[in-house]
Amino acid sequence: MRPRELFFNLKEHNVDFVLIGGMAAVARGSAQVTVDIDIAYSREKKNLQKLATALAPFNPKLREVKEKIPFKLNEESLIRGLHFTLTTSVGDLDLIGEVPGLGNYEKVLNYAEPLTIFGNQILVLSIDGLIRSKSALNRPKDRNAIEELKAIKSRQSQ
Amino acid sequence: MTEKTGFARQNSYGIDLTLIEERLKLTPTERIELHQKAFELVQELRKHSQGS
Repeated sequence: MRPRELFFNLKEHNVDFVLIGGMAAVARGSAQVTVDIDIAYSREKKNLQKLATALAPFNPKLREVKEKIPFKLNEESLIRGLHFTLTTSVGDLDLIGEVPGLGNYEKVLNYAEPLTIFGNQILVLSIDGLIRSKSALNRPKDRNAIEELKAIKSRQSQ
Repeated sequence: MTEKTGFARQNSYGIDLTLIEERLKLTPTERIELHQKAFELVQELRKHSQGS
């Protein structure tokens, strides 16, 4: 996993995105280990072009697909889907069009605040946004993560 | 509610508060870099457990 290169390229191409999921929790203080990077992305046509261009050097492929399905990440393929679970040369990456409990990119923005990561200003889901989205998912691992996020929030307010 | 164990302070849900406090002293970049090391360790352990 090479988040520095990923974030650099996304910022270099002015992609509208918010870091969400486990890596957002890590940036906010979580000690959990996550195996992929999740981003919520704007589905504006221009942004889909920029996203595809930014990710192209990382050779994105669909993961968790057993059959060999021909796939090229571009504006057209992004229009046809909403969520994409990708494997790339910089690690596994999930592109999320609608975040559970929050909604689309425009709604996610209401729960995002910028953090400086590797010298770039990156919009990162807030603790409240993370709790809301993880509550909506409500998997066993999310319940544990919610308690940790609540503890982080409580520590920050002290 | 917190409870002091032999190693770290935990809240009633078993969340390690000492670990959280350490993370919160770091910058977001440092937190991600630390995660990177933990991730690589997990990958290494997985690789060895698959090979054995």
